[in-house]
Amino acid sequence: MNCKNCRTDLVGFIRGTLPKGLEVQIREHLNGCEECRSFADYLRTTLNVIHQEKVIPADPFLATRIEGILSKSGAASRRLSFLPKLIPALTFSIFILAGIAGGIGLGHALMQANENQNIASQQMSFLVDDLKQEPIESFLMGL
Amino acid sequence: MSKGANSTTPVLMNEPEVLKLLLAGDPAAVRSLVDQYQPMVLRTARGFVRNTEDARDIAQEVFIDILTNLHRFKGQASLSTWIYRITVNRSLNYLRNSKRRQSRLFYSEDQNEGRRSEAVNISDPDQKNPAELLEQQERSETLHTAILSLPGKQQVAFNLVEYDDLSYKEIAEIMHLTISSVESLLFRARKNLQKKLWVCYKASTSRENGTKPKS
Ligand SMILES: [Zn+2]
Repeated sequence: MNCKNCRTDLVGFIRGTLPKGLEVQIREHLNGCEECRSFADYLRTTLNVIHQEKVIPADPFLATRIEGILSKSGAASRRLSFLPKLIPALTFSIFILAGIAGGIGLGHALMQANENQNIASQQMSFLVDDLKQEPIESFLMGL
Repeated sequence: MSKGANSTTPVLMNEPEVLKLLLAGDPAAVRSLVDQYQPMVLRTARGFVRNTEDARDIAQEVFIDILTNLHRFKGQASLSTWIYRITVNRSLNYLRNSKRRQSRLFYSEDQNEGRRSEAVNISDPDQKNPAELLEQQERSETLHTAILSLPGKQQVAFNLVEYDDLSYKEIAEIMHLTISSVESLLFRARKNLQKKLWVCYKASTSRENGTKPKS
């Protein structure tokens, strides 16, 4: 076994996951190769960090914090939960109000139209009356 | 399947009991769930992040996810398998988001230093001397840089076997893979990790040689 092949399987060797034959070959190589042995030591020490890191003291306040977060979000959703129920009532009221406003508007428009019509007809009759009072012929004759 | 959960955690209730209480909305159930699964969730998350505080942030998100999505748990897998999946997904999301936050993190280097040294203190109750602490911190940084550079599935399989001591069968169940796929992932993960750490080893030895006074 050469150094390159030995290094390739060193993590597996350290973790004991290699087939027996390969493990024996690597062990023999390490016995006779200082550099691979030094690298194996480096790998072993580096991987040992995992054993230290996975011991994490539990946070005794985590459950309380989570209960707080969940009750806050629950309260928020409860505060907004009336909205879906209110939407049909709001829509119905808007339709009713729009209907009333539309009716008033239409009434106003009709009344306005009537008034306009009266003014227009009065103006027309005035003009007609003027013509009646001052016939064209007499006007021309006066020139 | 809760080898990781059962190995170091005192089991207060079995999974069906916890589930029954949770689904019934029992106020004590949240505490039971957190007490029982917090060590497992912290350990799994720790494999993906560089310090203990980040693992704690992830754990909080995981438990909120569990409690708000409980109605989606079909019971096809065990509760611990489901929690492992949520923890892995939350951790990967956290990594993606922290990549986006990276520029901001560079500015708060002092804060990070505080977090790192706290992480070392927590995981090392023997109170090592500053030089030993620094060395351990450097090794942790090197290891996590190497783990984080692994392709996604290799990273997940490696962390589950190393940080949670799970069997290939358990990892296969969590990752929805066959046992032989997990074997292959781990084989490649170890080779890739060795390559990354070889580069670090060469860099550290040449640094040591370079700083040594010539005799
Ligand atoms: Zn060699």
